[in-house]
Amino acid sequence: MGVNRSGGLAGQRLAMEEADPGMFRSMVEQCASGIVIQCEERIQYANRATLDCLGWRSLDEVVDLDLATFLHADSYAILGPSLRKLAPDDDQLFMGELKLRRRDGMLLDAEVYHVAMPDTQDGTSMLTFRDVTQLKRMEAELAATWRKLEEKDALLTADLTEAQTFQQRILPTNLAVPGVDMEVIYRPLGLVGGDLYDFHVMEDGRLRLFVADATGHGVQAALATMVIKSEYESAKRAQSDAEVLAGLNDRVAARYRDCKMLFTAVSATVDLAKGVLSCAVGGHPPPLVRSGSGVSAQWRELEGAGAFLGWMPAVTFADVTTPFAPGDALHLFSDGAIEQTNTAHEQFGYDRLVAALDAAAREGRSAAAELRRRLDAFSGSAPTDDDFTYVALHWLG
Amino acid sequence: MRKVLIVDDSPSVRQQVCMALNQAGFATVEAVDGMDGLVHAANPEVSLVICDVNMPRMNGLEMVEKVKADPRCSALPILMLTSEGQPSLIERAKKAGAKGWIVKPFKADLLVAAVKKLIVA
Repeated sequence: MGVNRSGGLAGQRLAMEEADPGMFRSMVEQCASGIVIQCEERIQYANRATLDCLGWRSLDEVVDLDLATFLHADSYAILGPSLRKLAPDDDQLFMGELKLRRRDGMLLDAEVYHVAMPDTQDGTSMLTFRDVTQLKRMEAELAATWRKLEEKDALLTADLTEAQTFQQRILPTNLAVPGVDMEVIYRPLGLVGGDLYDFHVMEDGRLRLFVADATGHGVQAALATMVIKSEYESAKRAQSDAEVLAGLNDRVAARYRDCKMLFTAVSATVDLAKGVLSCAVGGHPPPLVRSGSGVSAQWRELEGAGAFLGWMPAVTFADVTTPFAPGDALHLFSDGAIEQTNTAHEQFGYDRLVAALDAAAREGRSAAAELRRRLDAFSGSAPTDDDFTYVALHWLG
Repeated sequence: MRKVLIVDDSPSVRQQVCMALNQAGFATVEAVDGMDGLVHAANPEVSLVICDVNMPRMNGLEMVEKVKADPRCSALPILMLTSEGQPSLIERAKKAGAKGWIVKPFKADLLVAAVKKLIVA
């Protein structure tokens, strides 16, 4: 193999070579890694992978060349101290990335492992190497792409944060009404979401609540909420909830006909003076009403079967009316909580939602806090599936 | 079980080295700088030292020189594991008695091969 026998392939390698020299030579020759044996900084042997990688045709061309032929000057300087055996037990060990030089002068990045040949005292050592030029280029490209993605992500996050500020500005900030306690959970799926709620005191003193859920999530749904809010501002003064939804639907369907802006909505109006609650529902989970408190609390669902809003004009909605007394509570919500799944892919569901609200009512605790706690415990590490909004009005008895 | 002392001020490097060696069946002990490493090197259970160069309080090269001057542990093989690649530092470490020089980032299988070689030897 052209190996300097004074340095020799010693130890197990020598034993193996002597036992089956043909097989050993073949293994070294066919090894995918480059293998170079040097003595006194002159090349004694280079396997086929080395010759192919560094652009040499045959072993004869490289035997006895200066090892520096194979290395960039800086890399040769780094490897230099390891090439020289300082003591009989000097292992001449080096591991690291060095630049190899091809015959045509092109430089390659290589992971190099250098070690003294066993049973030699003259500094004969072996270099094994793997060309990582392509790998490093790919890593550099990947790192550059990653940096670009991070920059874009930062820009997008900044945009979304600004959008979040805008979206939160359209939500009511003052929910204080004498004799009434309001609770809200507003959880967009991301920084912005497709849910919207509103609350206002009408000129005649009635309290009107509104929840809408635009189809989809993220930016497009958030933009839809801006449109819905804008059009709702014009529709919300209608006398009945059915008229509110009909007016809102007509405006959105007419102005944004080509945008496929579908959404569900519920409008509910509480007349504290008359003790009456009315509502109209468009494709939305029906509101829940609790009468009484503690162990005597009773729940009823306000039926409403109106269609989705936004897809066609001139849709009618029906008002549902029910008595509402001091101590009663109205709960509006979007479907985000009902459809939230846990790690076992079970849905939180309507029953768990009612159970959470009922437990809070019976134990005199905050309904929003109880619902939030149970929802978080249920979903655990499962990802959030949808935006979720919950608005409750408790008439303090 | 043969124990390898890992001296590095970076907890993540110590963790990576420990993981590679533990998976290969070696026990490990950690030191956070050269001063700490010097104390642990005197432990007769330690069979090999893997040592960083740039560390607070006492750097790796000083530690190698002190270990080699201490008759209790002068025979311990020492591998330098560092991001440094200056020939003068490699020369100094070698003259001080370090058995080898590994430039970070290291390949776990090659590190294990080097450790096996030195411990078996």
